[in-house]
Amino acid sequence: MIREALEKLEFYCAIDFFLNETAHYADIALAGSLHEEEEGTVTTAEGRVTRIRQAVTPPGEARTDTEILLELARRLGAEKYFSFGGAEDIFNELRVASKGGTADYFGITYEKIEKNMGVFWPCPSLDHPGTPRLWEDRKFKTADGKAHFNAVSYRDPGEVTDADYPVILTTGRVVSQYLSGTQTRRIGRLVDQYPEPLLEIHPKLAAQYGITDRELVRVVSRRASAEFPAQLVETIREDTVFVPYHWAGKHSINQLTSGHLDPVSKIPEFKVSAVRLEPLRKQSPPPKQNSLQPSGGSPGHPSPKPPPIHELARIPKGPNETT
Amino acid sequence: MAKLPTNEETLIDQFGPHLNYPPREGFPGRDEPDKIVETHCCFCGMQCGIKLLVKGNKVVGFEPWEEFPFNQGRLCPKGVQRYLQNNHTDRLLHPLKRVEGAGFQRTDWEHALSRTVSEIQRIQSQYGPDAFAMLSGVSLTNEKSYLVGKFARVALKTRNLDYNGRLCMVSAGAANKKAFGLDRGSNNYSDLAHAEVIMICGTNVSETFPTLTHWLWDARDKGAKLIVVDPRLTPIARTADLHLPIRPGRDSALYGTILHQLVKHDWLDHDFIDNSTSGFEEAARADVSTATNATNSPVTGTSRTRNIGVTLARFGALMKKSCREKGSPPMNLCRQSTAARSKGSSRFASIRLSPSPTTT
Repeated sequence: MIREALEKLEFYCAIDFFLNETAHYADIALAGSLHEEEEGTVTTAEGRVTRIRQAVTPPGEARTDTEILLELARRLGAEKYFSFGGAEDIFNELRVASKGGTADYFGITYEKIEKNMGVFWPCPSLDHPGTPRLWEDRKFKTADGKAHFNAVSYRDPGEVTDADYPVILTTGRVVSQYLSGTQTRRIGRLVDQYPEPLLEIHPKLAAQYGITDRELVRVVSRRASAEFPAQLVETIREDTVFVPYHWAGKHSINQLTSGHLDPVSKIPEFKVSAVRLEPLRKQSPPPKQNSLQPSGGSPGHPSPKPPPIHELARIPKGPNETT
Repeated sequence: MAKLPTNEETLIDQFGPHLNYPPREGFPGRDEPDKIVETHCCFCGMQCGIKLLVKGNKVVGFEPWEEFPFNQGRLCPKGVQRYLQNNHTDRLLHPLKRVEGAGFQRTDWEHALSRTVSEIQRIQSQYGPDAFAMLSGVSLTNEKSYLVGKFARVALKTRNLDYNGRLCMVSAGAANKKAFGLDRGSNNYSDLAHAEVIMICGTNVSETFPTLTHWLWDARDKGAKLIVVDPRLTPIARTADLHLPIRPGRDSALYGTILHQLVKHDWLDHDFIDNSTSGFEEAARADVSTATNATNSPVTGTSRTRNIGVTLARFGALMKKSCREKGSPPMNLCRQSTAARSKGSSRFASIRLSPSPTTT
């Protein structure tokens, strides 16, 4: 679905530090900045606003993301609204813009963050210490000031199993990878830990199909199909299979997942799809391990260039390659 | 128009992913860095504190930042490799333009920026301002996120702005807003250590937020019970007192059934419900009917017990036992179940926090 949308674009500009698989469709790619190449703040999952510090400047002709956006804004004729001297200037405007709102950052300053190892939002005034724990006063941010129980009636997921698609597919992560893998599929030792997506399947379900460990299995949904080596595990329900989603192209399990949207948040129902399993009666070769390969070279100029990942996790194309 | 400019293999050869390994002896300069920068990991929303070692404008290694409060120097398998993001052979060092048949070619900033701006202007004048959309990333700093939002509204004047959180955590945010009016977890992580029962619903914390696990162990050391709802026996579920491997997508049947049990046994904090909440009657009614259906049908049927009733009896027994051991009645359960419900299918809920432990 995303690929079809990308193919329809008349123009696509990507600002990024790697040319990720989505950016392969770009018309222009602007070399942006890494986490450690700009000053700023982040709000962690805990609600703590912390300081990101610039450790290095962007290499080569790469620019910071901020510089790029400010320059584009200038060229689009909006310069007077984008006259920021740096990250702290932008943060100070954010503080003012959020003042009095529910996500109030007004009382958070760079100085305060550095002094206190982070400040929890909301923080409405400069003398406010921040709010590590919400609702101690039992005054909630809802219209009536009370916490609201939301009536939820059970309904089936958007896609349920049937005779053609009898197995539930769910997806998730592995510890060595992050999101689409754009960043973590480029780090050798993280790839070595878990080089390719595997189909987790309970031995009892596998036995029904005669599937053995590392046998290639084609997983077919109403939208697409993809092939994964089976991993027989007793740590999953017998009616459910699991594939992690960090890979792109033909290894992407999200080609198969359901496009039903949550009515409120509009998030796709990635975690529940109906599939069928087609064992291919051939073993997938074990992925190569590269961790002992000497890399030599200096930072930024590793040599020799390591092999691209598609060669490392290559799926055999014919029976001659399956041994 | 935008098919790939050349085949995928050529693009991968040119732009990766290639694998970055450190030299066996470590990067030169690691032992004598120019500076040590206290900053954060870039690989998830935990944003663990880390110190980066810098030599000659390159990140050459890292050290734990033990003073930083929530991870206290701890890092996960991703965190200890995070420094290899820098100095990567795939790094874009200049702008690129698409060349049909060949892939991408180096171009200069003037060309790249003027082409981008002229295309924005062409598309917007032809189809209207909303025809140009912007997609942002959750890994950006607050400053960059703010800038992207302002850029879309003020410079592009488009209504079409979204970010990858749409594919990740927007449901937890929406649920928090509906329940509490604010999109944030209720407690800081150190509060977890004071929990008596911790219920983890549909989140594989030990792989996705690994450094959070430490706070769970702290609570466990103090006797906290752990309940994990997940179709897989994830690493954290292997340590649980109760694992509920429900069928994917049937979470609301389980929570409705739990609410039914709370009502049936009057394990309710009436003071809290009456004075600080709204909508309880409606929620209880809706959920009780759901629960009845779920109890009689195998929608939630677990692979172990096959019987939701048995599972819930164990759940109830665990709750009662926990409360007995802590010397307090089980009536506070409901207050915390609001937290559990608000989180929808993700994150965790800590149940029965002790009254106001002081934290920094």
